This record gives sequence, C-alpha cells and structure tokens, in this order.
Amino acid sequence: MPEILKVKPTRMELLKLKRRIKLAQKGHKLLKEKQDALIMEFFTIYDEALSLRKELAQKMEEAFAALRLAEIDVGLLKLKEVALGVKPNNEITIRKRNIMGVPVPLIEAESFKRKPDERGYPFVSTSSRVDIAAQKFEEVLDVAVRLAEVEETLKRLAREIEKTKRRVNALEYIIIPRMEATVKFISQRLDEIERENFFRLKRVKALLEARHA
Amino acid sequence: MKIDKILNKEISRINLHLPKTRKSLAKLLEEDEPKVELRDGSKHYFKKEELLFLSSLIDEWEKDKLFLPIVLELTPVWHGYFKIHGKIEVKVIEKILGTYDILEEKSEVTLPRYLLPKIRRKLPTTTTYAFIME
Amino acid sequence: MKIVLMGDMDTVLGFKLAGVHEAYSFGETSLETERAKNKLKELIEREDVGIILITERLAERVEIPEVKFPIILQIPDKFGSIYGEAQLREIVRKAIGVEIKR
Repeated sequence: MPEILKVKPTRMELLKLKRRIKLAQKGHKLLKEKQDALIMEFFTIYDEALSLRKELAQKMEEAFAALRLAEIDVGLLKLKEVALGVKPNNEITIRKRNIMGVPVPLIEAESFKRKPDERGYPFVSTSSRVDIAAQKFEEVLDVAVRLAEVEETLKRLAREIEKTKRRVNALEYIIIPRMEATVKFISQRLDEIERENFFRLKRVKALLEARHA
Repeated sequence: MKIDKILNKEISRINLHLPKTRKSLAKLLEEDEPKVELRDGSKHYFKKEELLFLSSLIDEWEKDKLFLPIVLELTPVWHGYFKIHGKIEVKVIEKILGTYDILEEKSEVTLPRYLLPKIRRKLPTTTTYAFIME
Repeated sequence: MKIVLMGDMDTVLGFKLAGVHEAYSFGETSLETERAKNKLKELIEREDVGIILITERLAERVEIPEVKFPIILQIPDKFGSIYGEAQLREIVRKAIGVEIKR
C-alpha cells in the first residue's frame, strides 16, 4: 500500500492532485519514450564499440609481432634511436554532437598512416621491418581514435539511461501511486464527511420537527 | 511540489537538443566547420563525410531544400513508429532504407521503429530525435 | 589536440614509431605507480590533450577517474587484453541491467 501525501481532504486539494497526476503521467510517458530511444541508440553504438574493440586487439597483436621482428633486425638500441627521430603525427580535432541532450565527442581525424619518408627517421639507415612496425602502429592509432570516440559515447549514453531510468521508475512505482492513493483517500474522506453531514442534517431536521410538533 | 518542478523541467528539457534553426545541406557544405546551434545554446557539429554522402543521394537543386539535421519524430501516441516530414528528407531516408520509389513523392512518412538503427548508423550527426507531445 | 600514451616500455616504443605526440613509460614498482598516477593527473588537467591511451595493465594500478575530458581509452599491450570485451559488457549491465551475449 503506497504512502499517502499530507494534504487536507478538501475538494480543492482533490482537483489540484488530479491535475498533478496528469502532469506526472505525461512526464512518465515522455521520459519512457526517451528511455526507449536512448536504449536503441545505445545498442547501435555498442555493436560498433564491440567490433572496434576486437579490431584493436587484433591490430595490436600484429603490431607487436612486427615490432619484435624489427627489433631482431636492427637491435633494441637502434630501434629506440629511430623512434626518437620520428616526427609527431597529425593532431586531432575533437568537436561535439548531441544525442537527445547528451553531449558526445565527434572526432574527425585524417588517417595516421604515412609513407616511410614522411616519418622523419633516416630511412636509409633502417630496415623495411622497421617501416612495417611503424605502419602497423599507425594502423593501431587509427582504430584507437575511432574506438575512443565510440566508447566515450557509449559511456555517456549509459549514464543518461541510468538517470532516465531512475526518474521513470520513481514516477511509475512511487510518485504516481502515492498521488493516486491520496486521491482515493481524499475521495473517501469527502464521502464520509458528506455522509456525516447528511446524518447530522437529518438529526437536526428531526429535532426541529419534534420541537414543532 | 518539488516533484512537479522537476517534472516540468524534465518535460521542457526533453527537446532542448533540437536546433534553433536547421540549415540547408547546400549551406553546410560551404561551411568550414559545419554545425548548428541548439536550443540549449550548445553546438552540434556534422561529420563532413556524412554531408557528402547525403549529397550523393539527391539532385543538385535539392541541396537547398534538404534541411539538417533531419528530425525523427517520436510520440507516445504512435508507439512503435516514427515520423519524418519533408519531401527531400523522406527521399533521403527511403533511399537509405532501400524503399525509395521515384514515382512516389511523399511529404511525410511513418515507419516502424526497428528501422531507426539502420538510419542512425548511416546518419549519426545529420539526424536527430524529437519527442512530440500531442 | 594531442594523443598521449601511458604504458610499458614496449608499448611506448611502438607508439613512438607511429608518431604519437607524447608517450610515457612506467616500470613495475610502487614508486612507478605513484609516478604514473601523478602523470595521469597532470595530463587530465592539460588543455591540449584530447585522448589518453593507457594500457589496461597500467590502468589497473592507477585507477582511472571519471572525467569529462580528455577521453581516456584503455588498450591491450604485448600480452594482449586483460578484459577482452568484458568492460564493454559491464557498461551494458550497469545501464540496462541485463547480461548480454552478442
């Protein structure tokens, strides 16, 4: 049995409450609608995140394999030296887009893949295995940046879903039932009062009639 | 009455992510950083490749008539369905769904909601949801 | 904006070859863990950092705070991934309240 709100059992309060129930129901419907849409959106992005995660794991495995081969080829010391000479790759631009009130990142980055002569290390002094390792890690960067955007979006949608769900549940299981129980309570009280009044009136009438008789 | 206040706020907040005014595809293609301003004052950026993809779906003269983002209308009254308004908007969406018919010109279409992921995957920044209360 | 990497020596080496903007390597000791925590805090406060890539193994030691920006992405290392897709499924479980298999 839901709790009852503390209000005076009057006709005024009854009307007010009925209006509030209408508002709560409207809010509930709208929020439920939003929750459904958020969940649909969430799963669309989840699928993308899942496949990018798999792709990242695979690309990194390939990249580390290539790195090992490069290391065998030129030695760790030399490889570290080469890495120091590599020019920084493109920077990224992070903008915003909005999904149902949730701001999420939008990253537009050119591919990080470069030609060996664009990397900045003296490529005559290295082996093609170094180039392959560099290229594999560039591919890793491409996927990682895409995943960063998608996973962040997923997390933010998840938080919004939790928030919306709490609101929807509170309305559905606490707020609206409480209001409805109160309406019922007030109606009953008003009925009682009316009945009491009726009987009182009847008694007064009887008394009056007895006196006149 | 705290609850009512929160509710009223939630209800008025529900469509704040819609643009103040939409922009035509033609205009957005000219912009360096294509974006619209939203009702809450924040910015919503479009993916350029998406704009180019949209261009490939319609005729040159239609670029002035396609306003973005395309609004996907959801309403509790039409539970399980969504609506799209505008001839070019409908054309674009139907082309993506593979249901476009050149002989049929529609200014409005009602579609089942399970088609939404397909649209949102292709047009994540150039479509947006609107919650319609009757 | 910049992409910054935090991880072990080999991961740093690989990402440096790809031209990642900054890369910091950390050892296994608890002192190094402290260093990593401080570095992470510093990177989060910087305004020119857009993405922090951190290996799962290092992330496990420093615990990742929930921040609005930059984006922090956990990545595998040469030993592979600790979690696979488990972290993604955990996000789903928390948001929707169901376990999912797909």
